[in-house]
This record gives sequence, C-alpha cells and structure tokens, in this order.
Amino acid sequence: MKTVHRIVLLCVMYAGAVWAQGNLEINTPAISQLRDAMQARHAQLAPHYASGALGLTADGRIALRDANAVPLAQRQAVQGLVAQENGDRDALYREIARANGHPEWEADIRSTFAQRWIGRAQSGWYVQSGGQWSRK
Amino acid sequence: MNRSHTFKALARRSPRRRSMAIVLAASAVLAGCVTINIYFPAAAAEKAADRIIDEVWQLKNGSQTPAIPEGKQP
Amino acid sequence: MRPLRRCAAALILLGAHSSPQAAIELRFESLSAAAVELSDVRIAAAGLGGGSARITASRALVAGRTLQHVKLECGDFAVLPEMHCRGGRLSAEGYGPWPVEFSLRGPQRALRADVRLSAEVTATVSGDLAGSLPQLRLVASGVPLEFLLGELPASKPYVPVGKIDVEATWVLKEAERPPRLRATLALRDGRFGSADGLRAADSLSAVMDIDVQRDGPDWRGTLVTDWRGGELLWDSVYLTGGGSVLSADFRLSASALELTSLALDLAGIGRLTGDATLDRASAALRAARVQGAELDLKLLNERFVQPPFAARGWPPFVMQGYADVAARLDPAGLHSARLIVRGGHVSDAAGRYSLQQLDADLPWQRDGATRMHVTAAEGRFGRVPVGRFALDADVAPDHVAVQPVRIPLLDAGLQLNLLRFERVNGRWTGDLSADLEPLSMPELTQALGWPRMAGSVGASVPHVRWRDGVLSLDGQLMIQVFGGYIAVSGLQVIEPFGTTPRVLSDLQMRYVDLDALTETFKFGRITGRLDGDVTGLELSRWAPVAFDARVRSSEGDYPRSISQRAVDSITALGGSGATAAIQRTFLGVFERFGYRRIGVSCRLRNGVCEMDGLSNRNGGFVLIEGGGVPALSVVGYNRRVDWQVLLERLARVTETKPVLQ
Repeated sequence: MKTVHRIVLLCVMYAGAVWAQGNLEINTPAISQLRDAMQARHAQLAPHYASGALGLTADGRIALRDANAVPLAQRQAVQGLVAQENGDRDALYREIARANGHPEWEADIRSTFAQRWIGRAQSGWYVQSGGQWSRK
Repeated sequence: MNRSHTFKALARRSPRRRSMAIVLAASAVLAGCVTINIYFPAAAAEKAADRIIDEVWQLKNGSQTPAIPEGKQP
Repeated sequence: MRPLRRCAAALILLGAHSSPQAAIELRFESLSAAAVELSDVRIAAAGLGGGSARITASRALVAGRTLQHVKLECGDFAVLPEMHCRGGRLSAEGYGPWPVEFSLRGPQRALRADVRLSAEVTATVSGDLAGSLPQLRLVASGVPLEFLLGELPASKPYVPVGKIDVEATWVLKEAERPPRLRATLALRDGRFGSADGLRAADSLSAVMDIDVQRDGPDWRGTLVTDWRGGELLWDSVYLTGGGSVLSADFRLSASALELTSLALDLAGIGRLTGDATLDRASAALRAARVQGAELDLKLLNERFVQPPFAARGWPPFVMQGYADVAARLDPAGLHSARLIVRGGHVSDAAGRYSLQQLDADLPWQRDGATRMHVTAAEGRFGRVPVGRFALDADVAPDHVAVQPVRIPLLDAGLQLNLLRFERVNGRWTGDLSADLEPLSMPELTQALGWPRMAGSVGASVPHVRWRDGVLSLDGQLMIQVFGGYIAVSGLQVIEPFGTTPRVLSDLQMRYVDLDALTETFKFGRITGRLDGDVTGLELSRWAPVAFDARVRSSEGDYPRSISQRAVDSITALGGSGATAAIQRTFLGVFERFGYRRIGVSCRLRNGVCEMDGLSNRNGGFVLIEGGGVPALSVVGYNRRVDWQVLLERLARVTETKPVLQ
C-alpha cells in the first residue's frame, strides 16, 4: 500500500499542479442561487437547531429529529422547510461537483460538507454520527 | 527520484526478473496515474464548504469572506 | 342485594378456621348483575351489624371491561339494619386503591356511593336499586382520560392525557327492557403525542354522547362525537378549531366493534358516510367503506391534499369545485377508491399552469387496472391557452398509459402520441412522443406577451424518456420556425421538477428568416437567412451557464441587407455606439446597407461570453462583412463580454424583455 501511495504521489507531481491551486469553483449562478436560498431559509431554521428539533445528519442533510420541540401549529411548516433545505443541499453538492467538471465527486463533496456542517455547528445543536444523535 | 531507487533495488535481482519487475512497476505507475484522475481535492473541498457555510449560516467569525471569491474567476 | 339474587352458583358456608377475625365467610363461584359479572367472590365479615369486612373477586367484568383481583376492604361494614361500608378501600390490578364509602337504604334500596379516584376526582353513584324505576346515576368530573382508555393497545404509543367529565345514567330495568346506559363524556385539555411528535394534539375539547344497551351478549347503541376545539396534527395534516361531528350506530361484541350509519361532518368540506368494523382487542381496522358527495374541493385540498405535498417540499397548487369520493378499506389499507370531480379548477400556486371546468372520473384499485377519464374545457400552460380536451388513461399498480389525445393550443394542437409511465423494480419510468402542429407565431407571441413575430412554429418530438430524474430525448426535436428549422439533439433535462433543473443540449439552426425575426423588435431590420450551431448548451434553473454558439448567414442566394438601426443595435451590443460616427459621415444618408456575410460566435463560460466573428481585422473581429455599395463592415474589439451585461444591452436595443434570462 505504501509503495502505491508513493507512486500516486509521484504521478501527481508529474501530472503537474493540476489541483495544486486547491480551489473549487463555487461561483456559478446555480451555486449562488442555492446558497442564497439556503441563507434566506436559515433564519427560519436556526431556532429549531437551537431547540433540538432539527439536527445535522451524517450525510450532509438536516432532519426533523424531535418535532415535539416545535409548537404543534408549526410542525407542518417545519417539515416543508426540511424538505426544501434537503432538496437545496442535494442540489448544491451535485452542482459543485458538476461546476468543477467532476460529477463523480458528488459523494465526496457531500461527505466533506457533512463533516464541515457538523464541525462548525454551534454548541447545543444536535449532530448525527453513526446513526446516533449527540448534542454539541 | 523515488522511482530510480525502486529500480536500483530491483536491479540486484536476476535480469529476467528485472524486466518483469519493470513491466510491473510501469503498470503500477500507470495504474497510479489512473488513480490521479479520481483524486479528490479534499482540502479544497473543505475550504469551499467553509466558505459556503459562512455565507449560509452568516458566521461572523468566518473572517475570510472576501468580496471577490476565489475560483476560476476571469 | 337485589341484583345479587341472580347469583349463579353455590353458596358455601365455610368454617371459621380460614379467617380468625371473620364471623361470616361467604363464597360465590360467580355473581352477576346488570353489566357486572364477578367470579370467585369471597366475602369475609366480622358480623352483620358492623365491624371490618373484606370482599374479593378474582375477576370482574364491568361494562365489557375485565378487571383482575378486585378487592374491597371496609373499616366498618354492616348489612343490618341497612347496608353500609365506611372507611373502605377499593382496588383492582392496575387500579386504586381508592377510598370508598357507600350505603344502601330503605325499601327502594337507595344507593349512594363515593369513590375517591384521586385527591381531586370523586365519582359519585346514586340512585335506586329497587322500586318501579331502578336506575343509577354516575357523576364524576375530571376523570383522567388514560383511566378510561385503560390498556387499549392502539392508544398506547400516543400517551393520551386529558380530563373527562362524566355524567351517566344507567337504567337497570325499564318495562322489561334490558339495561340501558346513557352517558355524556366531555373531554377537556386533551392531548396526545407520538414519540416523534408528528402525530399529536393539544387543548382538545370534545363531547361524546353515548346511548347503549345490552343486546344478548353484545352492546349496541349510538355514538355522537362533537369536536369542539383544539389542535390536531396527524403526520402532515394539521387541523384546528373543531366543528367536526362524527356519529355512528355501533355494536360491540366479544371480538369486534361494528360501526354502521357512520357520518363524519367535516367543517366546511361536507359529509362522509360509511361503515367500519374494527377488531376489538387491537382496535385494528378489519373493513370499512366511506363515501361522500359534493365535497368542497378547495378546503379538502387545503386541509388534506396540500399538506403531504408541502411536507415533501413540492410546489403547491390550488383546487376548486366539488368532488364525490368513495373508498373501500381492508386490513392492508386502501383497497379501491373512486374520485369524481365536477366543475373543478386546478392551478399551480405559482401560476405556471391551470385547468378549468375540469370533470374527472378517477377510479382506482390496489390490485387491478382501471380507466380514468378527465375532460377540461380550457386551461393554460404558462401563458399559452389550451382548449377543450378529453383524456383517457389506463391505470394499473405498475402502469399508467394515457391514450393518444390532441390538446388544442391556440390555433393548432399538441398531438400526444404516447405518454406512458411504468414501474420497473420499484422505480417509475416514463416515455413520451408528441407533435406540435404548426402554430401561428403572431398568436403565440401575443399570448406570451412577446413582440409580434410572423410565421409559424411546429415541432416533432419522436421520443422522450424519463429515467431516474432525467428527461432525455432520443433522436431530434425538430422545431419549424421562421421559414427554417431548429433541430434539438442530445437534449437532457435533469431534475426538471427539482430545485435546480439543468438542461444539456445541442442545437442546430438552419435557414432562419431574419426578416421575420427582426421586424418585430426595435432591433432594426436585417434581411437574409441565418444558420447557427450551439454545442454544449447548459442551462441551470432555465438560464444558460455554458455554450459554444456560432451563427452565420446561410449559404446561397437571397437578398441581403441591413438597416442602419440594426447596425446601430449590433454595435451597441459591443458596448459602444458607432451610429453617431456613421451619421456624421456620408454613410448617414443611407437607410440600408448591403452585406456579404454575417458571423458571430460566443463561447459562454463562467458568466463571460468570449466573442469572435468571421475573421480577424486590425486586432478586432469582423461581425458583418460589407458588400455592394455602400459597403459597411462591423468590427468588434471587445472579445470578452459579461453575459449579464450582454443580455441587458440586448434588452435595451430590442426594448423588450430578453427571452433568455
């Protein structure tokens, strides 16, 4: 395994600094639209992260983990927000992969995002790992 | 570089084996190069994720929210 | 005790040795009175005139409910001269112990019993056991709901709580009729909630009236439940207020609860009627039939149809009109159903489509095929009006096929040759083939609110397939427009109904009449023909994000001229007004110029259009190559133009909204 790694490294060097810049394209109109939509929605979602109603899942989405923390009259609306947010998140990962010419990166981008969403979540928010919810 | 080391080490063995080893090494190198094509820039992806998360969650401590975003800007 | 006269078995006087304090010990194998059956009853009392006593029954059946290990202990129990129990304690397995006192007086055998269910709740039973009209009255306020529901398995996951005020009259015997119970149960502060919180209720208030009597081994009667207020959430359906009334006749047997003449009045929507049979032990549905006529579609949609859609983030739509429904359910769920819509209106909340005067007959079966029928008198797709059409569809569990149909569009029609959906390995796929008959451009552009264009447009879609969220075109989509045609190939629409629809396609445009295209815009007039090729076209959310486009004047012999205004427009697209310069020269006297060739290309990447022309000249690129007299060439120098800026300039020179965003 080690030698394989070395060869890979070698090849990376030969291949030139293709990825050496280390920047992903995230400024396409589609990505901006998704980001803006998610930013606008965040104001509505934030109190529900704080209350523990919503949590960040290990697959880069959000989930209604405890609807009891939401007033009864709002639960229906929160379900809709979760569905919309997850639709946008799925599209975001797909768009970033596509914008960089590598649709096959979608799963990697998703898992990178999943880690970062969770890593940067505020304390008190619920995050999922290994199917279990825990409070940051 | 590393590759020549590998070859030198192999050269101490029998000549027949050596040629075979070269073929194997070459194909390993090729296989390695194929691996490069699916190499995922994890650090760049993390950076991209952080930049989007800063925006979406409006994190003030996400200090590096520049006016001109990086990327393949013309 | 009069009811105890119906004692069913031997009475055994036991010796004093079994209980040292008891002077009297009685044992009954079973005792039964109206609605009460006791088995293995033992009574041990210090005496008939006073002293402590203990009464036990291994099992009691009270109003159809079984209690185990019933025990009554009285601090002071007497039978003579009148029966009373003071300082008593009543318990059964899972219930009590409750402090209890009772007395039985006079020839009417007047009973008064107080059972203290809790510090706040006392149930009082009063009435006569003998006489001409023996009856008992039970009054209790604030009885916990969970106490009444007991161990009902269906209610357990929802942890129901609430307070119930009970007022019941139990006629023990009336003119040789069997015992009859009339009760009013008023629920207040009712609430329940599943663990995930998606099925819950709060501040519920409801009143239930029950009139029930014994019929052999069964109970039968009527039941009316009036939901007066509170909130209710069931999955994504949220209801508030109340005003809904459920009434039914019922029969409760040892195994089942049968509801007949079921009527559910849904506030504002209409009335559903039907019947149902539930398993008594599990409360699971065995069979049910529900029907309703003239239901209000608007409210039905808002309260029951939209919420599940919205919870999935799907776009909302609006419905109006009336519907008849009929459905049959069995233990596996919905068995068959039929929805009839009359005078319906359906429209997308965002205004993308609408259908009016909709009549539909939509039968459905879980395990079989049905034919659905829909007619619409008129409608709209986007801004394009649609005429009357009738649609037939064969619907089976894994298959939906719409019969070929012609849908009138303006002065022409859309011929749907094939529209089929199939479920293969759990995934739905779709196939479509259609032709658009030549449609008059003046009418179409007027309908779309665009500047009037001449000619007609027709299209032929040989085969479009829908697989895994991607709509893809087999072969070429041919659009006949402006005397030429546009061929669309390699078309793919990814997630057309998702948040970020994406289109990939190549376009080929041949021999398009520029006269027809330009005469309507204030762009200026160009006479001639145009060819174009667009490769790698990519739209995201219906806006172009990338393409390589080249347009050029067609080969061949045809009149070629361009008006000064058009020259002006073209130069304005480049960002600088050349007109002023032209007008200051002798060229200003010419209205029209001849040209030999027109050619421009744009490679769109990252919001920037990289432009090129026919050839290079003096560091610029030639867009129009002049010909004849006077010859005027247009040369562009700015090769990189921001796409948004270009669209804004185009909008300005055409003084209309750009077709592309």
